[in-house]
Amino acid sequence: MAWSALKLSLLVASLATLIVALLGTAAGWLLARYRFRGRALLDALLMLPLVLPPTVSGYYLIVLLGRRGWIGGPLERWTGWSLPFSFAACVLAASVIALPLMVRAARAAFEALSDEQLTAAAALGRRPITVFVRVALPLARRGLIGGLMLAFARALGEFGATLLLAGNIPGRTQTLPLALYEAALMGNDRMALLLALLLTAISLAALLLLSRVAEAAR
Amino acid sequence: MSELKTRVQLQRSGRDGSCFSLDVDLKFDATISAIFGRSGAGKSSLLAAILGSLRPQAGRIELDGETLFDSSERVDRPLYRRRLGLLFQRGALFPHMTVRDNVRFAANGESAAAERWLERVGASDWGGRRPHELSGGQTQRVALARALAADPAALLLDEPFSALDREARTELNRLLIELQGERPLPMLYVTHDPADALQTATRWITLHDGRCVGDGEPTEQLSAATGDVGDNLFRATVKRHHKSEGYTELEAAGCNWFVPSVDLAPGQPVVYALRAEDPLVATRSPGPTSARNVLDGRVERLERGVGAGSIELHVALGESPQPQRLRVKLTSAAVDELQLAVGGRVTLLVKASALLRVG
Repeated sequence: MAWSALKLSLLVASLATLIVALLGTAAGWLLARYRFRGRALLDALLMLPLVLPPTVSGYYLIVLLGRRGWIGGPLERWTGWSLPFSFAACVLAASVIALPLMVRAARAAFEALSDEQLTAAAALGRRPITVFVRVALPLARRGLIGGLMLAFARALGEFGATLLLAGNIPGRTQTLPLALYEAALMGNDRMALLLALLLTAISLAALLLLSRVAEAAR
Repeated sequence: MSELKTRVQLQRSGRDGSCFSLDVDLKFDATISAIFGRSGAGKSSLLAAILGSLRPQAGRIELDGETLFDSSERVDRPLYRRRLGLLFQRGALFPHMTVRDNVRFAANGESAAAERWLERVGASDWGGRRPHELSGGQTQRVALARALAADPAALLLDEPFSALDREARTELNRLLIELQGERPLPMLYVTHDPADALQTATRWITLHDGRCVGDGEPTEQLSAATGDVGDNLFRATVKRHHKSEGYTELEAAGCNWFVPSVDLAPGQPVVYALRAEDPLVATRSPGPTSARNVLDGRVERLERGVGAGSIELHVALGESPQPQRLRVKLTSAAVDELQLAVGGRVTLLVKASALLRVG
């Protein structure tokens, strides 16, 4: 139980971090450097999962992507595939909950960049994508790494939205926090303690590792 | 020959509700043009419009025959397609790249071209350094190399050397003149320091309240533009050295000046400042004096100075049809005693050491 939950948790958190890295960085860049209609609304929507209870976010995901959901229903009818209670559901739930942390960090990192350096890069004839990849990303790397660090830790600890959308199926969607919940509920104290220590150790290791990376990037 | 045409009309309201408008129609050929003016005069707005970061309500900007912006044709090229070189006050080098990589980034990854530019500005030795390891002057050299390595069709310089000390500034201005000679481009040199403009520019444009209020030869424009500047500034060329005596002789508008020795070849341009308080005024030839510069002139104007009892004397030196003009500050008591009047002849005495090289 502990071993399969550990494997699953690490995989889910890693994939979620990857997704959040891409989406969060892009959204952070958009919010930091561009002025457009609906910017404030987009910002608020992206931040919602941070302030809502995860169960609410999870519930919205079911409404959208559940078997009878707005998107999930037609999806299942056409492809036969349904999201709830799957590995993908775990990843999605963790991604949605971790995304605001990355967006925040990325936005702050990009807002702190010097306009002059970005303008200079563009004036040198380089396309916006080149300026982004070769100048903005490396210069913002410390903030971005910090965001990833938080996103990974948050994804690893995700519980509420995962429980609603992915359920608690051992070996399939039962991540460490869910296994701990079950163990504690069943009165399996030794297992619960083991799982709690495991989660703590991984989170601590992740924080230490990434703070060292951030230090090195200084 | 490169040419930059800018016809720009823009209005902007500030946060405090104030309204700023810029309305200029200027054509820049492949020389260095100084854009002079106080803060808020429209210098930065003009540059921003050329860069595309401010969109004029009306106008047209054309570089080398290509339209960068046209309000009626709805053309508005993004900055990366404008072929503009840019030099900021603090260089804006990329701190995560070495000096060499900064220039290579501009040269489209071509190492050989990057090396050539580094060598040209005298920065080859620091190619492997990071920008934070460079002095201010070194940073601006690299920034200049980087801007030119991207093969721009015009160069915009926004107070490029104003954070540097006078010596580094003079040197970089000199480098800029050389580079301009090797590859003539329209260079727009925004500055609030008249010495920079006098040293580098062949054209001087004064902006005030978003309008062009002066446009012409720098020395000519200077007096109008810097009415509130305390120093006299003038451009001169090195004539000959008097090594054993420790002097260099300069020539400016038909007048010869002795200054403490400078290490420049005859024919080189220099800019000097002279405080308006420094010249002594006599109405008769004073005979032998210790002052190295004894110059005859004619009083053109007498004006009330800033302080109580202070008079400003405008003196034209020499007999040249375009004489050098100096402003001299005197007390009204001295003016009365010497019975100075417009048209009267005067002799000015100036110590060599009172002349300060500023460019």
